[in-house]
Amino acid sequence: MKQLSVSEKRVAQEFEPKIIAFLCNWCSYVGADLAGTSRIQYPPNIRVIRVMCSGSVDPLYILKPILEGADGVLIAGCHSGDCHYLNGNYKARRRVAMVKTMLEQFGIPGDRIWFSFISASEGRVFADTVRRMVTRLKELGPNSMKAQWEI
Amino acid sequence: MYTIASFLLRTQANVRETLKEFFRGLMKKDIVDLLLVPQETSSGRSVVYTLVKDPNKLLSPDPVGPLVLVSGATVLSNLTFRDPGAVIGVVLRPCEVRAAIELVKLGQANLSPVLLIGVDCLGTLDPRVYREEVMQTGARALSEQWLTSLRSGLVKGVRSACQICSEVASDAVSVHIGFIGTGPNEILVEVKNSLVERLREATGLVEGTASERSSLISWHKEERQKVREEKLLAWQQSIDDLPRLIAEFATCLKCGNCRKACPICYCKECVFEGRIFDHQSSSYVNWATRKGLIKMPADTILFHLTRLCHVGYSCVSCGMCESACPVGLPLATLFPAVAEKIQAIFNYVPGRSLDEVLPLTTFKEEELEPR
Repeated sequence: MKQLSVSEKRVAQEFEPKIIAFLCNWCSYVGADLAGTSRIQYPPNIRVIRVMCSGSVDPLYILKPILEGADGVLIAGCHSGDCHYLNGNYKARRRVAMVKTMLEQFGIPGDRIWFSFISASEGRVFADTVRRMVTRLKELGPNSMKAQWEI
Repeated sequence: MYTIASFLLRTQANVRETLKEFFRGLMKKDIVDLLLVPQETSSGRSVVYTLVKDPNKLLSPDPVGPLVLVSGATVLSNLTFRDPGAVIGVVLRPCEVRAAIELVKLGQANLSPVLLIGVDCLGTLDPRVYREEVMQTGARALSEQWLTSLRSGLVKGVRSACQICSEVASDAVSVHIGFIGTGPNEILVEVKNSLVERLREATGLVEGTASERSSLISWHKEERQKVREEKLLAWQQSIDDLPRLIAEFATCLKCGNCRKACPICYCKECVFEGRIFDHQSSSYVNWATRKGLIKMPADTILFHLTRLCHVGYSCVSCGMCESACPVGLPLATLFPAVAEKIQAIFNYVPGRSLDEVLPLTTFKEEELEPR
């Protein structure tokens, strides 16, 4: 039987978006943990990277996965007033808005990048956010950068 | 807002001599201890920034010559990043003043030991074009021709960044030296009122104005603004997806000249030249396996997009990036076209005022609707 290459296998299967998530150490990561320990089901499309603060996510770390072909990037931090570093979450929100605006100029839908406030007690909100994001990314279809090698 | 008094300098022998006496006056009367001013080099083939301490060594000041090799804002940052312990008069073009203001807000420059002296600018030449011209005529003749064009308000062949620049004179300076709309034997000097007495004593200014100046400047502003809007819109409409951007930037050799020339891109060690991009051999193999092939050197588009995010909100459209690019990438269009959209989110105009806070260092409790 012919051995399928990695990319052919991917096309053969139904499209499952791949999401890179940057979760803040103090709130959102704990929220994701709570979703797990509470046995709340959510789609397994997410790859979590724990960061100390959503405010520490440089645009570079959002752009790299998008150019590499990730279908979505989620950045989640603490709610208003809860930031462990006073206001990193608010600054992250501005930075994400900036990256989205730039990418929209180049035809990458803003909806590939999500920014959320998720607290440590909001396991259900985390699961729900991932679910909604996966649904939206399925509507958008695969990121065309997956096949682009000249980046 | 300061009140501004307007004066004229009568030129005796020629403009260069008059400016020399004017600048020497500033130094001799201790209004400034040192002066950062462009001067013609001894070869007569270039105009470079010089930091002058000895007034007698100020021989050929040339703030008009259509060449900027390094942004004056970068030089200002080098001079004031730590306290220079002296007052420095700094002669800058409008885009350099804007960049200097951004650098102050970014914590990379300090204007308290500085007397900002602005000059009129309708644009400069690409360094390659300047070199060709200067080999034929010499720097002095080229600057004199340029001055004549400047007085009449008509210049030709300026860099693409300058073609879309509507700020021909900065109002964020203490002293402004104007040529647009002046007569052949005069130079306009606008001075903030607090400085008037000292400056008059030092330099022999006489009261006066240039009658056609304001109408020429506003005509220019309108024209350039129109060109800017058209050009940026056309670019935004034509380069509207990543494959088109990739095609446009296909010849990028990732030399990093654009970031070295950029006055705003101040990091001493760029993330793209540090350990983060010093990848393991196995990483390249993995990436090539996943996509089938990858371009080497990798990450050229990532570099430009990241730079857009890092400096976009403060980009003053000076076009130093494009002048420094060895393959002539249209950076002076890419950056303003995207920066305009980024700056619009935060309603921010870079370089306008020290009082406007950098958009990424501030926030509002409720804005931008989280998801």
